[in-house]
Amino acid sequence: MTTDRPSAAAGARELRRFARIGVAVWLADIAALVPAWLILVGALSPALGRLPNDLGMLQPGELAVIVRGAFTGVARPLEVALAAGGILLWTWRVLWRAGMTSWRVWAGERPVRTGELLGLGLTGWWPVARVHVTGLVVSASGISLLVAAALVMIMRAWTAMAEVPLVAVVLTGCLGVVLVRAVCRAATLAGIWRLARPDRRSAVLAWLEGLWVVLRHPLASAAAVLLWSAVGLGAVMLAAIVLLAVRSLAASSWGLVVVAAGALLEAAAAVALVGAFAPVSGLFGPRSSAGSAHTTQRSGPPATGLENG
Amino acid sequence: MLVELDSGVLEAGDQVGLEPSLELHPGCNPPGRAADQARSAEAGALLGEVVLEPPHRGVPLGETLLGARVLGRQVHRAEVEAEGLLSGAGDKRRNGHQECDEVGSSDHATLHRRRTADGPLAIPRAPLKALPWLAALVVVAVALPSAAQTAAVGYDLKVVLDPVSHRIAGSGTVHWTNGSSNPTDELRMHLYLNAFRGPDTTFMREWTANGGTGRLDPWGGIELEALTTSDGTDLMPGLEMIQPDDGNPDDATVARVPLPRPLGPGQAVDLEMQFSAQLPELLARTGFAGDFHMVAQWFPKIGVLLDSGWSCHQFHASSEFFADFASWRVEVDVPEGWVVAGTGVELGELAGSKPGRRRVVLRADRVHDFAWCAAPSELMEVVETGFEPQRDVPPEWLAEARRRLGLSAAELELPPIHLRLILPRSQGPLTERMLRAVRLSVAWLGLWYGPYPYPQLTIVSPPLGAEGAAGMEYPTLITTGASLLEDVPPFSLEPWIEEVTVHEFAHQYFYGLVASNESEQAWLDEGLAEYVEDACLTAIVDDGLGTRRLLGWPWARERLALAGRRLPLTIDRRPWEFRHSGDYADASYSKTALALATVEGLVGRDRFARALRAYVTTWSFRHPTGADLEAALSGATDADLGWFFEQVVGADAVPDWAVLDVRSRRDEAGAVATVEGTTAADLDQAATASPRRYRLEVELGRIGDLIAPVEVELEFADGRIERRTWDGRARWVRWALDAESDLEAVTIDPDGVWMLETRRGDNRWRRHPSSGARVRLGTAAAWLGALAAMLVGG
Repeated sequence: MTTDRPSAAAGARELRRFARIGVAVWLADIAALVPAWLILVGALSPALGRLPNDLGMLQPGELAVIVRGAFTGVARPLEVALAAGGILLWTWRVLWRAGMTSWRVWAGERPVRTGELLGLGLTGWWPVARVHVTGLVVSASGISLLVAAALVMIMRAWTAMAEVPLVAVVLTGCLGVVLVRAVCRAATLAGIWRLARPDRRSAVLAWLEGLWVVLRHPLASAAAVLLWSAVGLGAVMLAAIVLLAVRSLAASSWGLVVVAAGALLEAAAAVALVGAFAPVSGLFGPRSSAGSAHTTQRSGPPATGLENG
Repeated sequence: MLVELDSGVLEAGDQVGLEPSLELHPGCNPPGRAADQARSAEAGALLGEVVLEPPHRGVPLGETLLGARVLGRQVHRAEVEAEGLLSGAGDKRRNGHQECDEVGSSDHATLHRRRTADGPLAIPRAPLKALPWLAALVVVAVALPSAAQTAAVGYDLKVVLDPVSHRIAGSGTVHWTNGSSNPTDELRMHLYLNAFRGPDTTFMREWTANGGTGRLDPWGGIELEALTTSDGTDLMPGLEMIQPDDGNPDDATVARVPLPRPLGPGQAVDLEMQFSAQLPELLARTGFAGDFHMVAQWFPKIGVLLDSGWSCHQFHASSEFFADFASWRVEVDVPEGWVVAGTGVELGELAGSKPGRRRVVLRADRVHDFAWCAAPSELMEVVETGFEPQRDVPPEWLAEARRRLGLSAAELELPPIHLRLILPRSQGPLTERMLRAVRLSVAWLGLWYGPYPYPQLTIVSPPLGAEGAAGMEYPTLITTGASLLEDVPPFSLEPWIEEVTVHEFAHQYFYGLVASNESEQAWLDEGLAEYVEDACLTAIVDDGLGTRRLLGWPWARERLALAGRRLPLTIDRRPWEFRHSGDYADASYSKTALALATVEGLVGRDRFARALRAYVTTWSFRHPTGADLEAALSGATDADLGWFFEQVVGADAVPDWAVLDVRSRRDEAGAVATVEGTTAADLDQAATASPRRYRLEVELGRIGDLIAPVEVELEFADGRIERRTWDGRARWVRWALDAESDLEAVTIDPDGVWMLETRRGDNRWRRHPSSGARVRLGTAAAWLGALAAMLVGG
């Protein structure tokens, strides 16, 4: 019986396999946010272009009011661009995850062909999207319950003028929110791999199965999520640190290169994070309960998943 | 009988004497001729000369020496050489059977206190080495003919707090002198607590109109039960509530009391009164939350009689307070084991009104309000510490103040101050942070505006649930506010503790010393305190002494507040005349602070610093108006600021200039006309000049209504920089000029003097847009996008 335990190491292996997808993710992320970026830069450039190169010559608060003034008039288009970009990003994430999981299950060890993978992603987009939505709904519900409970306790502590318990509630609540979000995120990732199995079930059941896997393997799940999330966040923050530390970099076009490099690493980490839950499908590894045939290329196209709703 | 110091200021070389007919407490006093002399009924028996060690000059006697006793340490060393008195003061072992508690000592003096169960406050004693015990009597009861100032107004009040019903019962006497030039046949009194009597008072109507709660549980209120003159004339029958501001019949925060006979200028009346009050649920500065009681505006307070008439306004949601400087003696009766903190200093304790209670005696001189708080010691703890100038004044601050003010280190020397911090026990981890903020505030304001003139500052951090009492100023007492969350990252990065502490301490100067009329010109204290807060916080951050500055904070906060407005604001309005509380806040705090920063830029930092210091020096213990501030700043800077105050303070003119257009034409023809002007005729005016290469036209516009001269900087391609002044009278101007090189940049207000201007994006023109800021923007935006992609994708 193959273990269905998530593995951070599996993430590294899958990243090697799906390296091109990492690049595709990176490029598509950029494309999704370019409109908002252009609006923002376009709005602020005229005003900022008139500033001296040495911003230290400005009086305190002057840059803030200039930026604020430049936003007037473009706030609405920017909101729309950001919202559209956010939706595109989310849609894209579902697409490539669907493609990645389907490819892995159905194409086995075949070299990844990006176009085909994305085609598979299109086919499997809707069920995988439902898994994600399930995760979001559960996450939102869990967080709402947590927040409600915390508010009740906070009000009690406030009425009793008990500051230490209030701080404990706030900190615990923050931790709880992070935990709920992390568990739901892991369950979603596990769920999309469960959904990719030939004997696929409904999206909701797949998510629940994913949750069960996470609860059965909490440490492994946490390690996978923490490691690859940290790599992704670390890459983005490292870019910021480098830019802040090397001012000349931030003032030149190389700054964009640094940001792009950080974003590429983040995209790679995102792919690895998905790959870390590949064992959850139960189809990979030294022994497979479904037999070695499941690790070879399938003869026909994968089911769309629509049959199972 | 409580033997106390008379009010006054003790100066080195003063002659001190003893009030006659005092009952002196036996027991702690060693026998001797000194005691006999002290019991003499002769008025003004001369005891000797008081010598004070510098720099404690001119410090009110009651507050210093008794402060030393209460604080348990010697604040000042007083060597009293008394004539004909025995030497060898006794210590407690030598005082026979009486127990005396030693509370502090120094090389020269030891102060003792004796408590008795049934009565009089133990007389503080000062058996000084080689000095007679009578020095203690100097400490406790002294007439100072040369330096004594009879207070024009004095309150002697007793109050009992019932912590269960949250009611207070008060009584006392008031001495009031007509300090105006006109006689008056009435008194007007504030009964501020009646603002919380019900939902239809002026305060509560305005409060709810601004989105505040409309219900209190319980409501509050104050009832004046008896009011008589010292000769027994009952003033209650003629007492009536008046509503001079809005005629609201449901508002009873101002009482008019006819006097039996008119009181001429300089004449005084003594009143005796009894009152009771219900403290409301803590909403706005006063009330209770659980066992924490913040008791402010708790007694009938006489308004201010100016030459123009009574200034005694109703209590509005946005307005604060205005009263005469007075001397105060207040006995606060609370349950045993409760902490009491109040204005002034604690003289000591008396037995409470009944067993299980204690009575704390507080004293303050030359302050215009008196507030106090009380809470169980299980809830609140007291930290007694000090401001030590040698330790707490950053050397770089002293150096900068010396340089910019042109004063010597001796002239900038600050006295030590006792600090008394009352905070919830749960906020213990924040103690050092709070004290650091206080010490830096005392140092900053002391250096720039003169020493804090009182011996003690009390700081109260209200507990959780009592946030309504946070962020408020009273003479020698401030309330700050903190949360234990601020001890935990990332909440600890929030600089609220520093902001509120600096701001409220700044009020000790602007409001406490320079006692402008808060109820009519709130900007005079709030705006100045805000300006000082921003300047002090900037210095704290710049000198690495505190929290980090981010994105131009704190000045960016003020500028963004104004930038977000649709309608311009007039600063000089009465608080309740603003459209809503947001307008009041923007005008009184942000716009005023920015206006002062602008004046600073216009006249120069050093000149402004000296001018503001001179304003404080001139108007301490007085009631200036906005006109007085204008005159003080204009006079001290030799600059006529009338045009500024008229437009910025008295009206809502907004400064806003823009570079409308810049055109250049390269002229190859050789000699061309050299012209400057604003009309076509000017442009066509011919002149012979050496050959120029470029004909340039710069168009500037005045978008805002404020008319003021403004500097314009012209930067040429050959590196030359030229500054000109545009008077800004016309809506636009066109400068035509010939130059050897093209224009590279035009900047209106290049030094950023006009902090009030919130639309700055169009103040500049550049031929070749600078890349630095734009590239940084692009990079920052891209980074934000990467972060967003990570968060959304997860």
